[in-house]
Amino acid sequence: MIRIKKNNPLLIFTVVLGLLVFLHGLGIIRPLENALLFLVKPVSSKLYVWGAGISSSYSENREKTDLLSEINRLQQSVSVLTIQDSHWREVEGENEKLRSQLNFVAANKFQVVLANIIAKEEVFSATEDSRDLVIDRGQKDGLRLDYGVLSPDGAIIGKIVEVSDSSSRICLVTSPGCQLAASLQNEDKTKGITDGNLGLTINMNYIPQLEKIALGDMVITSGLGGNIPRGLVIGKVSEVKSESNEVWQAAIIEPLVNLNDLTVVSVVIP
Amino acid sequence: MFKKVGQILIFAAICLVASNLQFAFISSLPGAFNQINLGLMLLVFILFFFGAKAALFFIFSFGFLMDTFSFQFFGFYFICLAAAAVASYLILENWLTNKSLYSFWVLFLAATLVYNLAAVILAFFAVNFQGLPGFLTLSFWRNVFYQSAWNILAAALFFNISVALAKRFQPFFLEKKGGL
Repeated sequence: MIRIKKNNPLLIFTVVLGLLVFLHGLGIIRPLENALLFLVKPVSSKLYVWGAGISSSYSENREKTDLLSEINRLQQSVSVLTIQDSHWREVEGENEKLRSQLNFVAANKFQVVLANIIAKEEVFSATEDSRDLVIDRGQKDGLRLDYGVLSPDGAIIGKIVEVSDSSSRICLVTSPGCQLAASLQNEDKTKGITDGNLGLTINMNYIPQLEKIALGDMVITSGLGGNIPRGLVIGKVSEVKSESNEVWQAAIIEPLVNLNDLTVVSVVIP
Repeated sequence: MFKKVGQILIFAAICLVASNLQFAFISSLPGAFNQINLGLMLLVFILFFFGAKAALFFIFSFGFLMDTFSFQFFGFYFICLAAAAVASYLILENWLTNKSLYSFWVLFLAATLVYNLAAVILAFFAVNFQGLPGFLTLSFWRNVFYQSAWNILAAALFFNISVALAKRFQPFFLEKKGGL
């Protein structure tokens, strides 16, 4: 017969864990959890900024510093201009459509909520390395699942995949499994779904062969099926994978912003 | 009584600082630096020098904080830390005969492997067995390698500091008096 000791650590662990999970499930310890989060959020935000600063300077030092900073500066201005250009093109197209229909409706009117990134969280279940972001705003601030998240430049960087009372988890557009309804700014206005690729680039698959895609074409959110408005810039086409004997072609999209340098983001409330 | 309360408060404060460092700071570091696992390092250190009860208390404090901050399901960090602690404890009690730096390294390596295996298996359960279990991916083994490397460094540091501060881990030699 198995004898269980009174002070068996394994027994104590199982009982306490069971009790905590039970109390957590019932929401009885939620005030304590919220108080703890409230207490650590300002410190976490500062710690994250320090870590991101180290990360940023580490990546810069790997290359020739001066040249890299110049390239960074130029890239930033190119990304800002490209985003502006894409925005204006979208506005122009819409304007024309609206004029032709004589139906003036102001587009892109949405609220945003500013949030600090407080941590990066490893996704253990992903097939490859990927990390989600955790921000210091949650349900209490009006955030809900699938809301889009923007960089300070105005490009979409991901969407909310989990919300708690006072924090939210965001998947990045480059993370596998993070999908967005997208549209190419080409002649055909090709529509599709983007999915992250190895935490580095974005794939847009299942595009019919007849659609014409050119390198440098801008990719924006299509506004279909969800809480993310149309016209937010995802990135630009850097490679087109097209085989004549295939039914579909695919595009590889490069995001316009460096997703590792972010410390502040804004969540779009549609 | 006051001494005990003071000790518990200090211990809780250490757990709060360590969990916040792990959650916000270490996770944002570049490359292999974000694989530093402060919780696991402290767990093995506490188990090795202070015993199973102190380790259990650490699992509850640190695990509860990490489960509160994180978006993994509640209990995720408790279970991972407990699995690592059980594996280390069994090795420490049954296989290792002394408390040397090499023993410390073995414990760290075992704890790292078990912790990461527990994490990916739990995550695989949590997503209803979709995709591949994490331990079949290259990134898992790369992360285990980085964590092991950090833990070996940390173990050497912890051990030497402890030996310098506490007499009971210092090496001693039996010498024959009045002999040759």
